[in-house]
Amino acid sequence: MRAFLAVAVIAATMSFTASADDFTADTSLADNDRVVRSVTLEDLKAIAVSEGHEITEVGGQGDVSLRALTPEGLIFHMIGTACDTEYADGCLGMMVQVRYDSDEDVTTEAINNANISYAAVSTWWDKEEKTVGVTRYIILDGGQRMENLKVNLQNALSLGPMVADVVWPTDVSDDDLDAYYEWLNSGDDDQ
Amino acid sequence: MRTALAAAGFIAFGGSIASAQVPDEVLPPHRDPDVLVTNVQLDDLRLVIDDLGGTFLAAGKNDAGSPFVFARLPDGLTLGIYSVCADAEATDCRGVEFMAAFGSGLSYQQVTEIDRAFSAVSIYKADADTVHVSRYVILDGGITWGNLIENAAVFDALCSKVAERLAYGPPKPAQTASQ
Repeated sequence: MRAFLAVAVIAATMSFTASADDFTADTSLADNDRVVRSVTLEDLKAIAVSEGHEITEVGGQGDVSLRALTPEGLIFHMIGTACDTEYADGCLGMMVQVRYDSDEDVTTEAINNANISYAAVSTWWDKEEKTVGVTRYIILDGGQRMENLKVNLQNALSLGPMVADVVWPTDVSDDDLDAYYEWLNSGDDDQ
Repeated sequence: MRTALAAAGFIAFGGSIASAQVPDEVLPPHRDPDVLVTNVQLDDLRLVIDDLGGTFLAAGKNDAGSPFVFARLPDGLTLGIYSVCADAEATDCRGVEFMAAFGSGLSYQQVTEIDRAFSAVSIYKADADTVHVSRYVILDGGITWGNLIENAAVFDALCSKVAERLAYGPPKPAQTASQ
């Protein structure tokens, strides 16, 4: 019923024509104690790889962007926003996005319900692109530790499939929800 | 309030100020923007209001014991700032949600179109006549106090834009002179 963007898979295949070096990362940039007030593409790559994800594309959504794959097979995007302004080098904001193909079962009421259910992300529907998206937007002005950005990424990736279960209702049990909230509040990085 | 009182006292004693010892002005609490924050309590929420130049309206705790405050900002926005706590004692509060409510009878479709236009906030119909605007900040791992204030300021600015859209609805396609 719901499927990860097929287009993304095709694009991932095509992107292998790029240099493999594009997908490497200096994970020291993602040291938990490092405080950042803006991010570059190298920062995004470092966060993704240090969290155990596989980068499958860079630059697809702008110069400071990447697409990656979790070990569980979830495709996600990390996108820098407000980049190269007079205020800072790099990007003053970043988004983590999980996207799904929309279909005839998607309704605006379901999208609304998803936004009510999960405050930490914004759920949106691009009808023209036939995409339902789940976005965690992080403002970097002022600064935060890299560990915080990793937790933001973890939350977005955990919430993406849960939002999908609201948009396309399934038989998610209360136990599943309780387990998520228990993990969310535990401070444990292991999902 | 304390600043206003100090200023009033300064004026009252203005006639003899040349020879008097002027007491140190009592300033509101201040936190360095570079201080790292990993959780918040009620006092922190009130300090956010102060840093925004807002007016404290009320405080309380939700059913889970998590503290929240209501405030009015200088531009007239009334908002709630809610902590999200991980423990029953509400001592470990690693989430902050800024929320404002607007009266609006726009449809689900119209509201989701507005939501699509603003990535940094979540906009949804809470009921038939109310639209909520929300921004959630995760504190785990540590953000600077300046970043938390910036999140609040961005929320304030976006609420103004959202309010305009709610009043007039999503922008319509431009019409040409021949239409």
